[in-house]
Amino acid sequence: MAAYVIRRLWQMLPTMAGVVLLVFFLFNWVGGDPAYVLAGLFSSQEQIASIRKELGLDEPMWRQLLIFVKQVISFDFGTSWTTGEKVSQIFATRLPASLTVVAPLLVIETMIGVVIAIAVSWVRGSWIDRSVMIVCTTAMSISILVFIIVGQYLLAYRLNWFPVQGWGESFTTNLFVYAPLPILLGLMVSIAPNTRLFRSFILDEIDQDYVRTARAKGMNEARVMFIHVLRNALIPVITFVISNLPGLLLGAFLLERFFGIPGVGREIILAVERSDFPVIKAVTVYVALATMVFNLIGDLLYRLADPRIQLK
Amino acid sequence: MVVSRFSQFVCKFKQASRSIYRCLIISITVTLTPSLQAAANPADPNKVLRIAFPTAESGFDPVRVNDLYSNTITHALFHTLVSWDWLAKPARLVPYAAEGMPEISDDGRTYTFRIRKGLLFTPDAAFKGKRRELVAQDFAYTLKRHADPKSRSPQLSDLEDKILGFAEANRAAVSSGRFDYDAEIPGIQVLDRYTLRIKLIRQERNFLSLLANPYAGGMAREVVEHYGLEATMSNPVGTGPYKIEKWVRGSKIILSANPDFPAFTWDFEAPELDEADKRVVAQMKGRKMPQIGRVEISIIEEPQSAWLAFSSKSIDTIAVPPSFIEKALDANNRLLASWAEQGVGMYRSVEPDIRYQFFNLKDPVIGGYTKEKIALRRAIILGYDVDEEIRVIRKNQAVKAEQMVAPVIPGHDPNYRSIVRYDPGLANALLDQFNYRKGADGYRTQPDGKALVFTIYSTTSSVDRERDELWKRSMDRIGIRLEVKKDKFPELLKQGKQCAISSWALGWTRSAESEFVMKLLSSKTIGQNNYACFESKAYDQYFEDLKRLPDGPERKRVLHNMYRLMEVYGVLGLSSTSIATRLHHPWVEGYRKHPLLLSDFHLMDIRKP
Repeated sequence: MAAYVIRRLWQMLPTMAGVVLLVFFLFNWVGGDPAYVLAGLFSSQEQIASIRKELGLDEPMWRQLLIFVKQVISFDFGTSWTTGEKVSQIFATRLPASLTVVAPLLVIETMIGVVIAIAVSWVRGSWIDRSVMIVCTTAMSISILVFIIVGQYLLAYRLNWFPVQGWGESFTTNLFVYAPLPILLGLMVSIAPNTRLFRSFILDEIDQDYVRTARAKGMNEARVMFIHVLRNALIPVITFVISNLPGLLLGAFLLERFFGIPGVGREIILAVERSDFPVIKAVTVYVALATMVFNLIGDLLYRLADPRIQLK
Repeated sequence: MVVSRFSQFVCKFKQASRSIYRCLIISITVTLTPSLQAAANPADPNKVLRIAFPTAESGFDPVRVNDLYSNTITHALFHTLVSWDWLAKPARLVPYAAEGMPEISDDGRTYTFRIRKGLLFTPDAAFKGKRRELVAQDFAYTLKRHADPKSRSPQLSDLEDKILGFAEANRAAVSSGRFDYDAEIPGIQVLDRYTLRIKLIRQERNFLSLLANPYAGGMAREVVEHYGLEATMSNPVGTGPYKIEKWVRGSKIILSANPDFPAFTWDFEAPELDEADKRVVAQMKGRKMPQIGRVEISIIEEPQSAWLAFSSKSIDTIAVPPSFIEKALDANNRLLASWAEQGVGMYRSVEPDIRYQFFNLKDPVIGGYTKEKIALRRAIILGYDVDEEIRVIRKNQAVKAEQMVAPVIPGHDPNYRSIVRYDPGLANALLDQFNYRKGADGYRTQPDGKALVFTIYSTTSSVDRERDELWKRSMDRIGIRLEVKKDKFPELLKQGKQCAISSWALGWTRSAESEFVMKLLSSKTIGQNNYACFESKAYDQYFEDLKRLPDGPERKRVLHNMYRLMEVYGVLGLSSTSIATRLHHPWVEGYRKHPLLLSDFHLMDIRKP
């Protein structure tokens, strides 16, 4: 196991190098010149040149790349070009707000998705199964924007069940007062595709030989479903959940924007609008790193879910 | 402005009951004794104004920020030497941190300010436990910061061609990599603790209005050195009516009243007031100010969220988002009865902005000064349906722009009429006359037979998409094939400054005087803000005259000539000036908006429940 982990960590280095190179060249060739944004509409070429110099954008490419590599290694991406705030500070202060919404959302959507998927798989082919699938397909075809706009208007403004928008200062206030509506709307959007996906994972297992054998041995249906089927179906579910975890770092931009949540998602969009490269670079690197780390954790969890799996 | 009248206001207030002698004693004491000033601020911490910004702020270092909302906050935090009278129309400058208006030398190049005594910075660790008074050096320091390349000041171009030695100091710092704040700049002289002298390169009739901008607010050098350049953005320390109490970036800004800000009496008057302003005067006259003790600003980017927040009384005022205008006003732009019944007040005002489409005179297709190129540009302008843009895209919340200077800006002439009107028939005739012939596909070719493709650039915003469609329909009507190129705003800026964009819609806002907007087409600003890359000796000469001439018929004639040149050459297609509709709940008193004064929290009041 230890050898496997070390090997996987070692393999991350070239992947990370590739990410760094890709991010660097994408931003330098495709991204807009931030000096123009900072200098404003009415600046002279001299001012722009001066700002480029201050930001180090007039340095040779290799030197800029070297600085970027140093930043990645030290996890110090400097300060935001537009606000002067340390990039690490931006993440430290915005991530809690994003996680307050996205973490419960991920847990609840997975649990509900698995429960509904088991239930409809149990009665697969019945009218209940077909009705749930129709509802899921319909829900999936509705844009998240519609859920948010209608939900905010109806549940918050008209029915006054939730605040229209806002964010407080304590974690409990945020979790129990401001986050429930965004979480609820997030669930409305995510439960349908999750249910369909998890149902297909379970149905894949239901038709396996070992399930038939278990039934032939006289095992009751509940034991077949929960002990045999669910355990094996959990592996793709774990893969799915783990692959979604890096998304926690990105927050939920639309929910944050509509409900005034000071999360990472809004910050990233602002950074893109302002060509604030230190922030964008940091996000890209953090997400790439998180993806690799979570993939590794996922692989380790497979073994916990099914001891027959050998990590090589 | 307010501070300068303080003694006078106090006197008026006291005259009814006390002797003139006591009044004088009070005014002298209040001016010289900071502790008494602190006691004088009547702001009530329980009076909380809750408002929303539609865009996130970037920070609160007045030298570095360049967006409306950050500037609104810095305006509340820092004292400028001069400010704008709250009611005067057209806008009029009055002293603020200065004791009076500056002495201006006969040649109009030297301004001498005397700073009011007793204005105190809010306590901060940078002052090491001592009270710190605002002095002339603080204004000199702020101006010098704009010349420091490390500050990355967006206002450099406003100041460098005006203040003597400013550009040289900036260039020296760029080449040496260090700005020497102790070195003298000939145009910025501190004569004594309270006297600042600014010398200009030449006479600049509008220089004073620059000093009313928040970016010219007095800053303490100790604070910037204590926190460092970047952290000054989040640690503003000023002498203005409010201070930052809490800031959650991009989400919430909470201001609390600065206890050291001197109280004053609301006593504004103007010769011609409209009904809305008369109501404000009747409501506010004689009140001790500031009254609002706390301002809570939420960043609400989505129009629906902001509208519902106002409707559910979570915020006290709102600038109605265009997409919700029909929820606020009827077809005649009157407040809907449902709102009026709730006592909601409305303040509608023409904004100090202008939108226009520029046409690049160096573009290979539409550029040039030959008759057929001029005819092409004029036909394009005649063919674009501005009225439909106002009706459909702007939802009738805009007025057609007749001239480059917006209606509320000094220099605007309400009697001037542009020769440009939406007239596709005339546009077609003009194109026919200059041999832009229509082919079998209905689209025209250039006089030499080459394909004619007019390219406009735009961003991916929804308004730009709607305008692109309108442009397409308009150009189809006159047989011009349109191509729309999309790019990011910074990239468009970059290309525009290099005269590489054929046509793009831009806007100009909050210009304090006609000269600033007329600079748009000066050949000296090619590479800066003359995105049309227009070169005209006649225009340049008029522009020089404009800088020199006082208000009067001669100045008006010069402006008319400049407008005509712009129209005749087809340089800019003027679009519209927006009308803002602002609503406020009945408990907000004295609510109005000034076209140029950004921060007004200390001029309003909240009725407590």
